[in-house]
Amino acid sequence: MELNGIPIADTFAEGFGMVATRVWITAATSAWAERAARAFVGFGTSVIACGVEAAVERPLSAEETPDGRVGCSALLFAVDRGTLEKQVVRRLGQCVLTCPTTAAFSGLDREPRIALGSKVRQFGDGWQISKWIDGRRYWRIPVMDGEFLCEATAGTQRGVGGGNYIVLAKDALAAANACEVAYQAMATVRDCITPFPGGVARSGSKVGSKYRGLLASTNDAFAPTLRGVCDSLLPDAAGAALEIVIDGLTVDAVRSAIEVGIRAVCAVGRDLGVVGITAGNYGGKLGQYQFALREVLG
Amino acid sequence: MSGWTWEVRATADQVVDLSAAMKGFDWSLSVAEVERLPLAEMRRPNGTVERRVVGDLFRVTRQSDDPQLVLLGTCERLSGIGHRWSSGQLTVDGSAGSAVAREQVAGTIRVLGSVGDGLAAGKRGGLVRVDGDAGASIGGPTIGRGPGMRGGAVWVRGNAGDRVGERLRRGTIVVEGHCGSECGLQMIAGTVLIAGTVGPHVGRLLRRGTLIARRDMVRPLAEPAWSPPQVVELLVLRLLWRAIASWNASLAWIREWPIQCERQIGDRTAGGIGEFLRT
Repeated sequence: MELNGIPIADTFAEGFGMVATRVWITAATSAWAERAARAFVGFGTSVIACGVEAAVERPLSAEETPDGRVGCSALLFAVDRGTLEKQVVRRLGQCVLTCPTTAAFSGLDREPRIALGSKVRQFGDGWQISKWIDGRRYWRIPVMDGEFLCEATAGTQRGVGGGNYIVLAKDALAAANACEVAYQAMATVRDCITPFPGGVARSGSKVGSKYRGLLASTNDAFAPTLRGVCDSLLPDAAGAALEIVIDGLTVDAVRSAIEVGIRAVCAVGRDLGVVGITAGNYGGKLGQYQFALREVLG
Repeated sequence: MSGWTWEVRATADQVVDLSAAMKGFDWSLSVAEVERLPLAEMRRPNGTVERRVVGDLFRVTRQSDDPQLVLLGTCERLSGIGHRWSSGQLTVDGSAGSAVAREQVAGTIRVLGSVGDGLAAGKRGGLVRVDGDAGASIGGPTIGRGPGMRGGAVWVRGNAGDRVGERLRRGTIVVEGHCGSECGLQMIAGTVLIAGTVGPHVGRLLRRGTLIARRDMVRPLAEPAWSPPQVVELLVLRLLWRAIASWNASLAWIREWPIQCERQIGDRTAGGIGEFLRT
């Protein structure tokens, strides 16, 4: 199969079940909301060492938010609910509570719920105030610019992590430029994020390592400098490969992001030096979800 | 008219407690079963005890399966209307007696006229709306119980008597008119909003919770029981205004209320850290 002359490999991306939450961060201005949200999701590229995979999903208009102010929607994914709560509370306390004029709300109306403000409230040292409004509990924590308003809990749901595709290009810059196009296009898809910087991981990994205790190591099959030494999956014309990783609240969201991203790459790909699209998987043995590229592109 | 109708046959010659009948009422019952629901025993002045059932007091009809019950006729002497009400809509087509919506769990209760004392005592959820005035102790405790209302919403379109929000534990009370003395007496938590004037001794022995009044209707509370007023902007008020406005279109005016207010903390004579907001 080819799309605009770019070969699409007959393979699939392998996704994993995760637990997800959505947190809405609002502030007096979009700049402060974005600063808080960026800090909140920072160091959230991979569950392997960050605890969560997180990113800003989209900006929020004043009409959408509970407090009528502008904000940002953040999605966070973890392997289990306990880890997710731990990470959310830690990030909320250090990155949102600290940021001027911010407030935080649950962006998911789902059960079960994890702690949000309920585990940050004690910062109020007894002056915190609980308020039930419309069946939801909020905490008002006195801070130096007034009050930090935060919903007590956030909803969670099952999510899908590890959706991906790999852009093969003539060199590293060509691959990066193509991924930039994909990243912009995928930003329009709801209910999903691309947690790596610019949506891209250049250090795509394989399971295991020659070193004991290392869970993952370099995906040598796609490393151009190892061509001829390892079993390479790089076509002859490819000098670089970059992996775009997608986490979504639903299978459809991940599938949609993969499709939108690949189509965007292929629309401009030949001019940019893209030579093929493939995907990462573990032979279908590890993940519950498979996204066959040719099926996704219909 | 749809749903159920209970029409008062004749004005009761003394107060009749409907609590037992209200508690036993269920949408799945037949008309005959509803007519057999017991009313509280009545002790006559001559010492005789009278046992009556719903059918003795009301003409019961069922027009459809809609979860709506309308009480027609003179209901001022009926107490306990809406006791433990848990689903659907109850409408009183006129005024009602005391203890309306006592221990209400969910659903909606609307009284087109006024109500007596003890509105929403021990209430746990749902909405009760009174188009007229309400007596004393809205959202207060039930007899022999400590805390008052524990959840839900109360909306009085007219005036309210003394002790609005007495020992209120949780939930929201809105009075569009004026209220009497000791508003927020011994309040434990929750929210009371008075749009009109407020009588003396506001927030006496209040421990936590929020009392809200209009700046042009009420003076700041006296120090040292209450802290000096501080002008603050409270984001939570925007959520509160929106929530109250969502109860009914006729409450849309509250969306225009500012979120900047004068805040006092108290009642410090009781170690309270509740708040009195003048907005």
